[in-house]
Amino acid sequence: MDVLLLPLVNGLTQAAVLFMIAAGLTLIYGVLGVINFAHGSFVMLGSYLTMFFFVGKFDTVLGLFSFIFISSVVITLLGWAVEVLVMRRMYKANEFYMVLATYAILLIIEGCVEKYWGASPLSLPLPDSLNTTISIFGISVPFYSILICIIGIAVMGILWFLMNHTNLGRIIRAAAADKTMTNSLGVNVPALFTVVFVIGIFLAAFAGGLLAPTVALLPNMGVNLVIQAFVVVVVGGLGNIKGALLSAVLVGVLDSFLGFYIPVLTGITSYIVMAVILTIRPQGLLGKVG
Amino acid sequence: MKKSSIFFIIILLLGYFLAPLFVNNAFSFKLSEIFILVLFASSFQFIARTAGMFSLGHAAFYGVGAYASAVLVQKGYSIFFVLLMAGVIAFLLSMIIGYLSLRSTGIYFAMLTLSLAQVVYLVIYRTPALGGQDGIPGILAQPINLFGWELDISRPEKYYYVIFFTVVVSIFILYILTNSSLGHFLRSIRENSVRTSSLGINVKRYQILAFGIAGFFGGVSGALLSPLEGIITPETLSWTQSALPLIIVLIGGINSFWGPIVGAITFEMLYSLTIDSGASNIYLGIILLAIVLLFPDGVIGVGRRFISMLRTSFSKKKGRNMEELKGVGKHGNSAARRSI
Repeated sequence: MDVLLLPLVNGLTQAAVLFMIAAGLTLIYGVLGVINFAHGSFVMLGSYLTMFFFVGKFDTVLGLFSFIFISSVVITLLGWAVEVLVMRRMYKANEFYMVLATYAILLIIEGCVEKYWGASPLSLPLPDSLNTTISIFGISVPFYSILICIIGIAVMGILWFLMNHTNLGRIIRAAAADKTMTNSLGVNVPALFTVVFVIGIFLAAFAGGLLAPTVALLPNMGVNLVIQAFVVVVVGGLGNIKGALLSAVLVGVLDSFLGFYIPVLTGITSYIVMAVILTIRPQGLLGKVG
Repeated sequence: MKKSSIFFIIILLLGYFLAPLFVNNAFSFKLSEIFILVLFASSFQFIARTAGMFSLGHAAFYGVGAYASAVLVQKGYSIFFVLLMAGVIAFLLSMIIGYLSLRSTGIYFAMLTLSLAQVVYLVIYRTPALGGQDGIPGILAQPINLFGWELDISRPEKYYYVIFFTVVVSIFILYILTNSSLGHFLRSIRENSVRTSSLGINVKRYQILAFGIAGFFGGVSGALLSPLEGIITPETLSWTQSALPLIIVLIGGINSFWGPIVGAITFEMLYSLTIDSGASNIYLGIILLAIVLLFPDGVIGVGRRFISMLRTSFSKKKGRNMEELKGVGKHGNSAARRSI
C-alpha cells in the first residue's frame, strides 16, 4: 500500500503548488496575453521573504502562516509596481519583446536576492507542531504535505468562486474573450489588467511561502519552477484555469510515480508528457483551437 | 552590399586576424569567446529574423555540439573533422526537435522547443559516460598540420585562428543562405505562411530545413567552445543559456544581419565590466529593460538613428529635402517594431 500512497501524496502536494503557480500564469496569459517569465522569481521571493520574516522569531503555526501572508502582500505590492512601470508599456508590443521584458525582471529580482542573501542554499525549518506525521491506512504521511494539498484545494475553490460567481470574475472572463468590447462597455481594462496581474503574483508568492519549509532556498529555484509551471499551463491549454488544474494533477502525480519507480526519469517526465500531448493536441488538453 | 561596406568588413577582418600579435593572451581568449557567441547568436538570428521562428531551446544544439566535440577531440580526431561532425550531430538533433515543435506555432512552438531542449539537458546531465553533473574536463585540441606547417592549437592564442576562420566562413555561409532563394522562401513563409503554401511551396519542409541549418551552426559554435575552455558542463545546455542568443540579438538589433556581431561584442563588454560587482545579472536586466522599453532596434538601431540625425542636420545646411529624410527614419523605426 505504501508504494502507492506515498508517491500519490507527494504528487498531489507537488500538483497543489504547481497549480497555484500555473493558475496565476494562465490567468495573466488569458487576460493580458503575456507569458510571464518573471513568475517564478516572485515564487522564489515569496520563499525568501517568508524565511526572512519567520526564522527564529515566531516558531508557531500561526506565525508561519501569518508571515507567508505578509510576505505575499509585500510581493504583491512589488508586482503592482512592475505592472504599472513596465508591463503596461508593453501590451502593444510583439509578444517576444514581452517575454524579454519579463525575463529582464527575472534577472533583476534574482540578482538582488543573490546579492542580499547569497548564492548558497538556505533553509527554513518547520515549526515543531507542523513537523509531524499522520497515519492514513496505517502509513505515516507528513502532515505538512496534507496541509498543502488542503490549501491547494481551498485556493482552487476560491478561484472557482471568484471567476464564476462574482462580478470581477465575469469582467475578467469578458476581457479574456474580447478586450475591445469589454472596454467599450465601460470597463476600465488597463485597471483590470493590473488587478489580474496582482492576483497572479499573489498566488505565486503564496505558493512560494508554502513551499519554503519543504525545499532548499536558492536564488535560481524560481527559474526551475516557472518552467514546470509553463509545462502545466501549456499542457492544460493556455489561458484555461480548469486545464491548469487537470494538467497540474496529471503532471505532478505522473512525475512522482514515474520518479518513484524509475528514478532516472525524475524531472524529465513532465517534458515528455508535454511533448506527447502537444504533438497529439497542439492546443493543449482543454485549449480552444486557433 | 555596398562597395564601401565590403571594404570596411575586409579591414575589420584583417584587424581581427592580426589581433593576437598585438594583444595579450587573456584578451585573445576574450576575443575567441566573443567570436563563438557571434556564431551562436547568428545561427539563432537565422531562424528568428529570416524565418520568424523564435526558438527557446537553442542551447540544446550549442551544448550537444560542445559535448560531441569534447568526446571526439579526446579520441584524437583533427579539429576540422570534429567541428563538421559536431555540426552534423546538432543538425540531426535539431531536425528531430524542429519536426516535433513545428506542429504548433507562436508561443506553443517556443514552449515546445524549450521543453524538448530541457529533455536533452536532463539526458546529458544524467549520463555517467558524459561526466554527469561534473561534465568533461581536460579537453585539449590536437595539433593541426596545414600544408606542412605545424600549428599547436592547444594554446588559446593559436586556437584563436581556428575559431576566427570557422566563424568567418560560417557567417559568410549564413549570409549567402539568408540572401538565397531559401532565405526568400523563409521570409515569405514568415510574412504569410498560408499564401506561401498556396504558391506550391512546402512550408513545413523549408521551416524544418531552416531549423536544421540553425542547429548545425549552433552545434559548430558549441564545438568551438569546448577545446577553448578545456572543460564542458551540462550548464552549457541549460535554458538560461537558450535565452542568451535572444538577448544578444536584441541588444545588437534584431532587424539587421549584423545584429548578433554588435550584440555579442556589447554583451561581452558589459559582462566584463560588471562581473566584479557580483551583480552582473541586475545590470543585464536593467539594460534589457531599457532596450525593450526604449530602443527596440538595439545598438544598431540607435546608431542608425544617430547617423540619420547627423545627416538631417547636415543636409539642412545644404538645403536638401528634409521631410523625406525624416519620413524614412520614422518609417524605418515603426516598420522595425512590426516586422519581428
